[in-house]
Amino acid sequence: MRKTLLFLALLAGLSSIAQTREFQNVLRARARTTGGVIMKNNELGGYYSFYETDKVDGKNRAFRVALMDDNLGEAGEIRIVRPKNSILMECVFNGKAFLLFFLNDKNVEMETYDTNGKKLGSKVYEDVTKWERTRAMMAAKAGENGEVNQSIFPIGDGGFLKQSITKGETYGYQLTAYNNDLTVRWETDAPKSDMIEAVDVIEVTNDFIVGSMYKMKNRMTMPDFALAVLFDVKTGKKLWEKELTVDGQKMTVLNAFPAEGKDELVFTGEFFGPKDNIVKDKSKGLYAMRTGYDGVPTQTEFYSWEKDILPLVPADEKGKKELDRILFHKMVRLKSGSIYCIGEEYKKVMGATGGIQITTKNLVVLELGPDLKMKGCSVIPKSKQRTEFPMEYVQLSASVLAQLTKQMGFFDYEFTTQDKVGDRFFVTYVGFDRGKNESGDKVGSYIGTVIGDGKSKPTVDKYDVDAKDATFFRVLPAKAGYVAIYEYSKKLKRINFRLEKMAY
Amino acid sequence: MTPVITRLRMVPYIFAERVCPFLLLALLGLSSTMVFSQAPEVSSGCWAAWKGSAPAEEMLTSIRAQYAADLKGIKFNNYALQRAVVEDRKELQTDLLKSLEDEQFIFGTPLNALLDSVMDLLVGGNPEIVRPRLLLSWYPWPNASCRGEGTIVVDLGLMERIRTRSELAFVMAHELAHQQLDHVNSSIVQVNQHLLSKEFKAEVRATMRKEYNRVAELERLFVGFSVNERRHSRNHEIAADSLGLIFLLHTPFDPAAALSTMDMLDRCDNERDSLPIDAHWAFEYPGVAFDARWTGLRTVSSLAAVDTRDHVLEDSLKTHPDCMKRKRVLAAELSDTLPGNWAAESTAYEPYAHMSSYATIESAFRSDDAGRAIFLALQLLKSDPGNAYLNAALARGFATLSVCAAEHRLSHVLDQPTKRQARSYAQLLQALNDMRISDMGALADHYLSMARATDPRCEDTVYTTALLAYGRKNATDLDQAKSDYLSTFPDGRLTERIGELTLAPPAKH
Repeated sequence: MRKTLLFLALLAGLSSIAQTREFQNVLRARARTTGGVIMKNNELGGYYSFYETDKVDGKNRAFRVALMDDNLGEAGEIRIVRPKNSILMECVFNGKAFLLFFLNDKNVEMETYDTNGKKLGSKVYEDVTKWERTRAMMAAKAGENGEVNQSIFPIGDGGFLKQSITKGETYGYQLTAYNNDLTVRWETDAPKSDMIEAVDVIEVTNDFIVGSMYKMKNRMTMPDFALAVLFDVKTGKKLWEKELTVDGQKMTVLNAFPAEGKDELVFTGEFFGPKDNIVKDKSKGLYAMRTGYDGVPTQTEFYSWEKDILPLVPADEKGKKELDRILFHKMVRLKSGSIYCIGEEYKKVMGATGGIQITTKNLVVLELGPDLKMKGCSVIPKSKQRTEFPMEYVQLSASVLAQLTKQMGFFDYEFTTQDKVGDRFFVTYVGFDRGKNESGDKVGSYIGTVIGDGKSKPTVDKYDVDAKDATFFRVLPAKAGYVAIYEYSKKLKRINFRLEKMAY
Repeated sequence: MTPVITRLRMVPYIFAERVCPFLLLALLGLSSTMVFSQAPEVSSGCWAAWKGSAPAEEMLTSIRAQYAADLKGIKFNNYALQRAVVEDRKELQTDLLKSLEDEQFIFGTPLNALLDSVMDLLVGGNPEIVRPRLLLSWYPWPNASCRGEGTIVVDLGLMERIRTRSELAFVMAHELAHQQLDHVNSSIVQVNQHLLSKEFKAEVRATMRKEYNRVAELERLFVGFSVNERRHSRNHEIAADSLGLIFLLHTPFDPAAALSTMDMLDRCDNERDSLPIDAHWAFEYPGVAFDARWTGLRTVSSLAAVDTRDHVLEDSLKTHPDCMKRKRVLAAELSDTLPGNWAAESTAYEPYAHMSSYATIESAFRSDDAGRAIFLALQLLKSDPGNAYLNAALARGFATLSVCAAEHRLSHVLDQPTKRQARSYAQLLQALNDMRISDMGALADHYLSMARATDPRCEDTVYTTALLAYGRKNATDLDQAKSDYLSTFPDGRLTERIGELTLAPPAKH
């Protein structure tokens, strides 16, 4: 009896030790979706922990969504009853309301809550397309960290934008703007055409939605070219779409920034030969392009792998300069106007068990000056990571396999954060070291962070993760200069979040 | 003023005891000069911070003997109840003994002497009180507690925040009232009677058999139980206030201090926490890449607007009534008393508060809270910029931050700002969290040079020299500083910490 009381006391248990937060009595937690980031107006707002607390009936469970701010300060909680296999995919905050996006057994569902935890609206999509479910399920496997697999964006403090895939005769993008109570403000679908049009939202500003668009003949073919696309955020009207090409060279859009104080956008990405396939073939190099808000380019710079980038690559121990294919994860721009392109080397090789594998290697950071001229290249050595695919995948190109690897969350790169005032950026990855540290203990998994300030060469800090008692741990974005680590211990029924500052 | 567990009753006793005119009049005749001894002074040189002090072995022996006798004296007809009460009382005993063994209390300082003198007057004026064991803890928050087994603990944070001896006397009188009314032990019995009752057991068993909503049901049971228990606890506080006031009226202390104590407790944060710190003055020194953001407080919580708490339930679960409500009750009771010839002592307590402020810096270091130590030292440095101890404490704080940041252990010694902290403290934490390791090192160097200029042989100065050498992996300087420390302070309070500073192999984290 007295033990029961102790158990009851633990129900209310929520520790508040400095820079850590612990949740007790967690009945079940999933590796990728138990904890995640709360995105607030395109920046990290805080964290959530979503876990089951009770059985309500045969089909439903009671869940708790614990909300924490970016300092891991307790912000509140939302208690909900949902189907037992619910997965919380995304939690987005726009300053006045939270939108929770759930993946259920047979449908997807959205719910909104105000800052007092009161439910504002709910929407179940029973007829969600197979593709949207597939996308959501893949995202659930990879985990959401505010950088990959983000499909919901705040629109000011009055609503949200959801990016999804339409059902109907043709497949294609669907953008829907919701008010905080989930009433639809506007909806824009891909137009009926012979081509499938897919849009990936890159940036939502007060005025525009900037995205990249791919057009394909059918679901089994690869897109031939990429386009930049701009929508009016107030009406959903497509303002323009432009194929980014110069002298017939095809270009993809990896990132887009609205240039502060100027009516222009900066696009960055990779470029290809006129006859190349942008998905299958290896790119010729990188580009950066300035355009007005009408999409008309005012400056374009190309950086060839061979001529412009390789000479800047530091030579290895044997004096060789080599670069494999690079998958670019993120591009950031500092106050000075310098742009840093963060990528990870990979190559396609035969697997040890007869399949095919993608081996990821070093991190690469390329620096472009404010004038968009190539200034430098840093290669950050890290351990190799191998992702094995069955033999049936052998016909897929290295680029396609790399994209699949990224979607599954198997690249070592985790996220990039930016200290906009301090003018620094932090690129975090998880590495594995088979060696021993100075104390003679095995290092194992470590968190590496590349720190750049635009003045000196980027430095690297490594943090030896001590998570021996954890069933699993994940690294989440944190305020600039920090990483957040959350660990789940099945044995202790406990989830622990902690902030660790990188040494710089 | 938190008794471990308290209980409602004894209100009639309080009113019966309220008017004790003969004793009261006798005490009113005492003059203030007889009561208050000369207050100590804190030098602006190198302050000899108190060591944690292990308790005397005789004290531990006597406590153990008393505890054993106490447990033997517990008799109930119900065996289960007896076992449960013994178990709970034993737990409280073990907790105090462990705290004593862990050197969590302060002995032999002027603060202890002050507490003893106040207790002498309280016990002298109220012969029915059995003089308790009085302990002063390093705990930095404003609190005092009655342990129920004959010990009253006063926390350092309380000594720092109160403003007069009369306020201190009222707090101690309140705890004595808890002891006199036996709130702790009677609450232990009452709680266990409830937990072991047939009805409650049956309810829990029925809940545990349920397949669905088991946790929700248990939670409901727990909350119901807690709300009831906390209501009793709040009533105990009102009862202890009333009886405490009566005890106070039998002494030369000013009973109006009961009201000002409630005002002090109502402002739970230290007043100093709200005094701004000029970031330029504190941080803008050679070697520091001063960041303009340190001069102001950015949004502490990105989700500041979110508040999903159940305020009604939170109020029901409070152990203490609202301070203003307590003040109203006390004021009503005070209005019945005759105007007295209370001792004038408006400034006599100040040196003790000042001394306690210094000690809370040490308390912060003891609990590995370098951020808090820096904040407290900066606040005191404003009025005493040449103070060797304060400069050395700052150097130690920044050196601790730089060493821990380099070893990815910053979170062990530095809090994050939260929305519940006072603005200036949150602002300082924000700045410290923003700083680079090189900034922390440069600030340690600056404050170390300031400390050396006043008193180069200060214990914290020598220790910090070693700490910085350790952080910079300079074996020669480290050995020299360690040797200096051990020869100058063979029984220093930082001997154990300095022994941990060894360069190979570095501590595993």
